[in-house]
Amino acid sequence: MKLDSFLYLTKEGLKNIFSNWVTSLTSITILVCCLFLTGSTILFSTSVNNTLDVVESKNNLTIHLLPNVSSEDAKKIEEKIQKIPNISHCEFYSKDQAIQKYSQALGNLMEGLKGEDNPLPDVFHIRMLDLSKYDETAKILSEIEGVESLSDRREIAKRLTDVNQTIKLVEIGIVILFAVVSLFIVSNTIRVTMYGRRMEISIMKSVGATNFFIRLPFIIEGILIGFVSALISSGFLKLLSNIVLKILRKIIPFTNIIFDGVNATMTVVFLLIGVIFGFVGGVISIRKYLNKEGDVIALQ
Amino acid sequence: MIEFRKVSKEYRNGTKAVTNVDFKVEKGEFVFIVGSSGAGKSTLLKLITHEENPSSGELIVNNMDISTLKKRQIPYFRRTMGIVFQDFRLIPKMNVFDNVAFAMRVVCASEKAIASRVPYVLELVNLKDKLKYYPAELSGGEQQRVGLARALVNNPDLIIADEPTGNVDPSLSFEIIDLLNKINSYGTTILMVTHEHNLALKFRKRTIKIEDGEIISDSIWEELKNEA
Ligand SMILES: Nc1ncnc2c1ncn2[C@@H]1O[C@H](COP(=O)(O)OP(=O)(O)OP(=O)(O)O)[C@@H](O)[C@H]1O
Ligand SMILES: [Mg+2]
Repeated sequence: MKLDSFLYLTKEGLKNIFSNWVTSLTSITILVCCLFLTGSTILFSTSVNNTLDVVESKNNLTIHLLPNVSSEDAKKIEEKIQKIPNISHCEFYSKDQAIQKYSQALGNLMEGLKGEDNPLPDVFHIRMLDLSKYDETAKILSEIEGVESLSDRREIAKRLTDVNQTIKLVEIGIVILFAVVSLFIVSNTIRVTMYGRRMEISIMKSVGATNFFIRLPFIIEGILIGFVSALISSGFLKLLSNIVLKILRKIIPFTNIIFDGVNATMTVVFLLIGVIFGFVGGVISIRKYLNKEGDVIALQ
Repeated sequence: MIEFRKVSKEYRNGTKAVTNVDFKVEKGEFVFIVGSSGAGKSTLLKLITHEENPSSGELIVNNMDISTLKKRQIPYFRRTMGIVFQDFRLIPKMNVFDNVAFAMRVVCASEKAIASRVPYVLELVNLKDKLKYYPAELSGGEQQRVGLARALVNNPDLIIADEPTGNVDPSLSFEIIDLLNKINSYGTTILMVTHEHNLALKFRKRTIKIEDGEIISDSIWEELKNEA
């Protein structure tokens, strides 16, 4: 396409938005709401998911050591554990590390519990290769000298996985619902613009403008609406997730909840979705309009 | 240029707008189509612009059987004709220059070509000193001349005008047709629908009269008949 035509079309697309700014604004508002709700859902479900991944002890077992086990003894225990064939992964997590993590969250509340007074046990986090051999492996582990107890979280893990799947389903449902609503909104907005410009369209058709050319300003309009909405809603999401993060840190520092908030990838994906929706919405609405060959002389 | 071979058009709702129409327009002709309201005049034009498809019969425009036209060819087909509307169809927020330039811009003409062509056609319709006027600031006759300039700007072989004088003061109708006549003298074929039969008579052009979708007279053939 020639540069002149390109400049002309872009200008027209911008004009479309401003020429019926009330509709544009309304649809941007609705789109922002849709995207925001969708984003919140995704954030929520991702954080539940991540949390579960951590809690997730599907093949994860924690071994608590007796309080009097020295670090040399712990080394020996680790070697023993490594020798068991069904163990795929074994990681030492000292009570000092544990208390360090909690005091980061709780501040000086934990000060008095550091060093000798630390009530927490040293632990090993363990993963098994084959869960069907769980009982035998657990038995071997519990018989190692210095091991106080094993914490079996398989039951919890299973239940959490169920919850996780439910949330996933709800998430998919919500995303689809809002996708449909968003497409409807964009295509409707463009239809309004198109109605306002039907005389121009009829002239374009009468002088032989291609459908592609007639479409482009409207598609640009859709893309811009999608882009702006995505920008605004990811701003809101960022704000919301920061607030949620702050609150979470305050009230439940002990839980393993992981809340990442909005990151750059998500923002980019959002913008992309906005643009794609704008594009598709635009295409849908114009197809309907242009499919009628008429409206050259007929328009009165 | 245009040839109708036993063309009929029945709209989807069952209205028979055009029945068994048979006529031929040669390149460079100036033809009036007259007839009362609802006679099927606009339908004839819509068939030519390919806005409607014939229900039966053959229609040849520019040596091309219209029924063989593919959808994506329609725009390029329309570039060979200029259409003038009864309601002028000027864009209110564009000045005279831009209204005419619009027709070139949307077929991807360069700004350079626009800058040289638009003033030329506006001079042709005697509007070269009103380039910066907006449609609302023009008389009906002047607005229609802008519409005519726009139809001409892409240099079509054929001008199709559906009651171009319908919204123009009768004293100015003459001037519009005079202009069409001038354009016709440069070789452009003109097809004009009008209610005003006496206008057609005054210009002594071929006149096709239709009633209820059928051609009831065609002045050229009548002349031939009289001669015989
Ligand atoms: N899109 C349409 N669908 C159905 N019927 C139509 C359509 N357009 C026109 N008609 C009918 O076809 C007939 C011819 O209409 P047409 O518009 O061709 O008449 P016309 O000669 O141009 O009349 P006028 O002088 O009032 O413009 C009329 O009976 C009209 O009601
Ligand atoms: Mg008519």
